[in-house]
Amino acid sequence: MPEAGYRSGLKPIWCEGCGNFAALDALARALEAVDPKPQNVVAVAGIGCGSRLPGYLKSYRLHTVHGRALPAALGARVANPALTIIAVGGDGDGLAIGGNHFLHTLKRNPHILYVMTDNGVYGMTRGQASPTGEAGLRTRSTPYGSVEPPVDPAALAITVGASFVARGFSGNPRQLRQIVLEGLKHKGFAFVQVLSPCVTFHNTFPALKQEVNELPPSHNPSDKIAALQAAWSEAPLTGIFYRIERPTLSESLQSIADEAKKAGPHTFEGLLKEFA
Amino acid sequence: MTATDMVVRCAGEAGDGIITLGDIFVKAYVRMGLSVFTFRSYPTEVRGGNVMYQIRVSANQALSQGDKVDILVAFNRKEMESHIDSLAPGGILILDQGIAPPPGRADKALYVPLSQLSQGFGQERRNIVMLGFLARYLGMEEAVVRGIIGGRFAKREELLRHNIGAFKVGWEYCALKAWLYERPLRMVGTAQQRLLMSGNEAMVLGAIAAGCRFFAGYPITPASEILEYMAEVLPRFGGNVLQVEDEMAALASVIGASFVGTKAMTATSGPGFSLMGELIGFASMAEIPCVIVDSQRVGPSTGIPTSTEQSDLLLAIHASHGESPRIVLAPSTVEECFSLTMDAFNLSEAYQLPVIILSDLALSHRLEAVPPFDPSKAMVVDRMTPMAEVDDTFMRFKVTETGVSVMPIPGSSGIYAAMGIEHDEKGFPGYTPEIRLRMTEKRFGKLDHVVTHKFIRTFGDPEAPIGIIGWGSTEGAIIEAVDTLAKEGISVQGLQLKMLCPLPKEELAAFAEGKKAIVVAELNHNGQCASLLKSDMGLETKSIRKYVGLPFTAGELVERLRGVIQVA
Repeated sequence: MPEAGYRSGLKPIWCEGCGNFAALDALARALEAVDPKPQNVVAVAGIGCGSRLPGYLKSYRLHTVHGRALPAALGARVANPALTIIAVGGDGDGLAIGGNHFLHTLKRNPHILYVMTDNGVYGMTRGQASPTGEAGLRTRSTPYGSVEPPVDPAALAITVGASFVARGFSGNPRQLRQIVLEGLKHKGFAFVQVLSPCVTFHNTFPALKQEVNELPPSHNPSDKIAALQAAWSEAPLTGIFYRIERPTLSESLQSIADEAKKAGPHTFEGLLKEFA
Repeated sequence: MTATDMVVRCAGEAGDGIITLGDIFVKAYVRMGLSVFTFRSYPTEVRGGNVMYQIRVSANQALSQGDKVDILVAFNRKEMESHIDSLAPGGILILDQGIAPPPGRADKALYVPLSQLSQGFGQERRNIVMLGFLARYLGMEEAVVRGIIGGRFAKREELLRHNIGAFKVGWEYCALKAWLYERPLRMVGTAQQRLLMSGNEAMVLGAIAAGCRFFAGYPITPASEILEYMAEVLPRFGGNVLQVEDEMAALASVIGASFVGTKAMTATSGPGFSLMGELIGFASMAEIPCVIVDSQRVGPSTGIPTSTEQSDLLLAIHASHGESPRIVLAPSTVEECFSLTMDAFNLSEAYQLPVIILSDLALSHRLEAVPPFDPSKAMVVDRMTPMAEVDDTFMRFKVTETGVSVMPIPGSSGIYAAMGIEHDEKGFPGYTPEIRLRMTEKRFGKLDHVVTHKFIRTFGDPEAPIGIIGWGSTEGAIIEAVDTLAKEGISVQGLQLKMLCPLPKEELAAFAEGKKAIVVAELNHNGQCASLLKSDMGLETKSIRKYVGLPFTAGELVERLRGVIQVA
């Protein structure tokens, strides 16, 4: 396969018809539109089908361990404010083992785009129920049906304080591309949940194609309550639920650096004198 | 107690101000040109409990907290009774008025009516009244002590007045009663300028000097001070500090920062280190430099958060499933907390390996007087990055003679993927036996080169028939024990290991050569270092183990060594 722009040319391991292809396509196009240059992009992932996505991008890639993409991305972002940092992973990687990092990384508002491929199962390990799988879902690990209701990633992201929260659907690639591009351009933490069905273990494509609708144009993305209501709608809505500007983590850290310099010596010799 | 060596112990309840008393006391001696070594015990719970602060002052080099106590300062009867058995023969009690000494003992006791003297300055000033008394009793330089008090309360007028007032009252009370008792000889220091700092503080300074510009951590006793001091000072040097949500986030963000080219560190204790296990293997597999401090405390599990132990050694060497090369260093002194931390960064960068620094609670919190560090004299090593633009043929994980391959930094050419999955030289997932063999040997091959860096110290008689091996914070007490035995005509040679992984087998074999018996002294139950020497090099040793949450004293090492020697 010929390489183009931000695609590495490697053939994805995903099954034919997997929702992740649309997520990859949307990301690659967004990068091509913004064009930060591949060597200035770091794509970070954990483990799972969704986490394989960076391998198909042309950029620096950091494939970490299950659930730890967000803190690794955080460290990269804080250490170099000039790079483009993208985190990718599935709902299991991001909300089960990665759940604690989801809460804390989003609320700090580092400038990172996080794309979560959401399919309600652990596809790579053959389809066990995951945090966004519906109650009653029968899988290998829940043969009598899952006893838990699902958590909604977008609603959770709004609650923990992300400054950009959106949901897309692999079955609506045109809108998904717009959403991802907006997320990439957002100055702060941008969370994009992609309804990305696993055609092999939990094929919700037919149902979603019927149910999913785009957010109405009247939606006000600076209204947090309206955003939550939209995220929690009976039939899934897609679009940008919430978008505000607030200081990024790097901006806050810069203020801290300024204050710290005024608070005491900033040479090594100066520090040593304080122990005399 | 002599004019060149003294051990003072202050004991009271939480809230008596023991720590402040001890801190000012020890700082004064450092400014007076003496060497110091402290040991403190703390209440384990957040309120209440007892505090003990032991200070060794020496005109030479204070190597340990000392054995028996020359001067015991007690603020209440319970404390006096708890500690009286540690008093040396001829030792002196300095007590708050009204504490009757235990029956059947003839110790010399001096009484200071603290409550009465603190009137006008507040009961919470009793510790400073006692400080005044002690300072006069020991012939300390008044101006030095007052200067320290002044520095502590520089911006707070009223507090300053009360503290100086309380100090004066204690000092004058002692002067008044001076004719009643013979005072010990004054300790006189050298003109050498020294800094007073803790092991934790020294590690922060070492990291900054080595170029560390990212720190992430989670609060945990006894490593929280590293996070706190870093948070205060690293931003002044253009670095960033994050307090994150757990220890996995701490190490993951350190790895992320390092991946993009910034030297990064985290610090924790046993429970947090356990949580970092998976990511240590990841850093090793992905060949991303990082430095991790484990300040050990009593385990397992929550254990005793405020007591010391050396029981994470085997964990540090093996942590993470599978087999992953890493480096483990163990400083023995506050000065080494600085220098070995610099070494940790240098080794981490040079070999693209995680480096673990094993401290322990006693060393992390210990105060010592150290000569000022001169970072301009020390070497700083950076990772090997491409010297020019690289193209698609570039192999990030190229198998080289040393196992170390060039590491591009995001922002420059050389895009590649770092991953925990097995990979080929270009960094693509690869699972064949050939790839697996080559890459495993590449990564482990680095250790053959790491081990050529010397990180041991030997002392005592090289011809001695008996050897004693230690690691980490036990060095000072071991040196003193070896010296004491040498004075009795018993010859022992000591070896303190500062690199535990990879193990310096050549040096250990040379040390063992010709010795009738070798003892390994360590603060744990299982004899982890002894077990390591046996499994890695077949070296048979006898164990001296202590696992009660306290450091060794030179005296007890002498006793136990004598026992070994008799049998040998």
